Amino acid sequence: MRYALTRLLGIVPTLFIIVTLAFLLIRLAPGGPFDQEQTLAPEIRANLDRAYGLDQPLAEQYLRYLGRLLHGDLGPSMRLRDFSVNQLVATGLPVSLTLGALALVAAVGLGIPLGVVAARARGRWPDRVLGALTALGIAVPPYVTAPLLALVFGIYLRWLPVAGWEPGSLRDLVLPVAALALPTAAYLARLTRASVLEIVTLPFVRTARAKGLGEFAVLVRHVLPPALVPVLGYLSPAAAGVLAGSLVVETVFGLPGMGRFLVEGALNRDYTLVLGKVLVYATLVLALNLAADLLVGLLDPRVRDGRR
Amino acid sequence: MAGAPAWLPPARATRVALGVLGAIALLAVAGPFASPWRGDELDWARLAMSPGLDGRHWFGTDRLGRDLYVRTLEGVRVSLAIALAATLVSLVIGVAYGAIAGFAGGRLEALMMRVVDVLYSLPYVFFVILLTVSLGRSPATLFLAIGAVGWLTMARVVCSQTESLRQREFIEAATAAGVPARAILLRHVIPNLAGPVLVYATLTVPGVILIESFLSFLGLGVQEPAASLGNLMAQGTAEMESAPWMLLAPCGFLVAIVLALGTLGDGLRDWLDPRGR
Repeated sequence: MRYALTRLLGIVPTLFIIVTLAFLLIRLAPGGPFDQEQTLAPEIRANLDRAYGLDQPLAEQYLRYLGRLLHGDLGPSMRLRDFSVNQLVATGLPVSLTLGALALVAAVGLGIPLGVVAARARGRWPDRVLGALTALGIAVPPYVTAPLLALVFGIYLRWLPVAGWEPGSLRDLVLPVAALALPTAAYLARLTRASVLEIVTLPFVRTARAKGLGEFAVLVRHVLPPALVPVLGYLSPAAAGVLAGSLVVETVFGLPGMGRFLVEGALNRDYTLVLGKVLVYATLVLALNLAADLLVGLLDPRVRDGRR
Repeated sequence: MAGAPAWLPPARATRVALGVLGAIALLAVAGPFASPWRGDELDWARLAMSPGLDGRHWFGTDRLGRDLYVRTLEGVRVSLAIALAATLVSLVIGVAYGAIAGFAGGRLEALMMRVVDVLYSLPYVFFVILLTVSLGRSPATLFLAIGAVGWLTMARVVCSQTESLRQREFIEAATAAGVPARAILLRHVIPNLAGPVLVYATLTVPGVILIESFLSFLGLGVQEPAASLGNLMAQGTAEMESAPWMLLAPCGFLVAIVLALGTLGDGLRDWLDPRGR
């Protein structure tokens, strides 16, 4: 419990660093949100700048932004008029979260069992086949799998829709989730295989076998809990990867998620939009890191008690 | 393995990977000369044509009639060049930072590595996106941005290596002989880091290629009319219903390169550091 609390508090300074760095980076960029509109009269331009607080010194703007952020307000979007960043995040986040969560679940559900199978069959053909498949799976990023899956299952076979999103429609999600989950599943399978192979050589496994436990009971009760610690440790980078991958997968399949408007916003210098979305992504990544660490703590008492 | 030259890494997969990479690099450099077309040449008679011998467009053409064989190879060249440059940037920063931290030891090392830890926990892809935006979109800023973020692993590896080197006798001897710290670092520590640095550099390259093509795919990386594997794939995705070959050629090259580099890196690690497995 104390461990969980200290970890939770540790997030605050990291978030602060992220906000500051991101704010500075986007402000260092040449140009501003209203540069593209050529016909803007100087007075209108000045009014716009004043309305969004861009006429203030940078430090002042930064403090104001922080102040609003503390109230959970990400500010108005500078290019998509009449929309606040909060509204845009609120429409996109559920889509991205559904996609990301399903992809992670699929990756874990596929990767860990396959890793165990490969470890059990070490050196024989299932292990070799899985080894080749996972090497391929790691090398193929979601922005390759996504269009290829759409091409094969959407266009040639016509089994599943190529693009689109209706709330609650699972058919729309199959291909995006598959494209996102495959690289992670491949990596998890490799990790699980290596980890299981390491654990089964330890003496306590021999003891468990010696007292007459069946292979399956040994595997589930004695081998898997310690073997899954490094695997769970990988879950937080995996989650970060899935979130980054969701950017492209959303683009390819036309899903209205968080990635929408992010690239356009970055190119149009929509400061508040880009900052807001990057912050939400960063918070998600940190929260997932924390969740994964706490899970590891549950499985491995040494981490929880701060002993090493 | 009879008859294999001794300087080659022992595992067969590693040698195959090295051969595949060499072939792709050679093709990327010399391949475009074999085609009668140039990458920016428009063949008005054959727009969005499928691969074939007609007009000698071996990989077909895109909607503007540009030859995809030449453009894909140019994309491979751009992607490889950016990957090498970014790896070099991350290598220089990472080795310098890690060697200084590891050699200094004590509080300075703790502080410097804490900074690395904090940076590690940031969602780096989004920072690369911010960096490419704030530095403008060009291949040069692309590799700077990727390199500026990619040095963290290298710094960690180098730091722990340096730390163990620092306690070795020959460093002690140099210190006792009165060699200044800077000279020890440059002459004795850094040359001894070559093995692990080489391995991690090889493992960095595919990661960089993936980030580069990811950014170019999103439209934040290499810009038209220049080709990179990422923006070719983005165009291929947009046209995949009518012209799937536009997607398949760059995808194939990307997967082959990343797969070969990963295999090569793993092989080099096993070869230089047999304890790894």
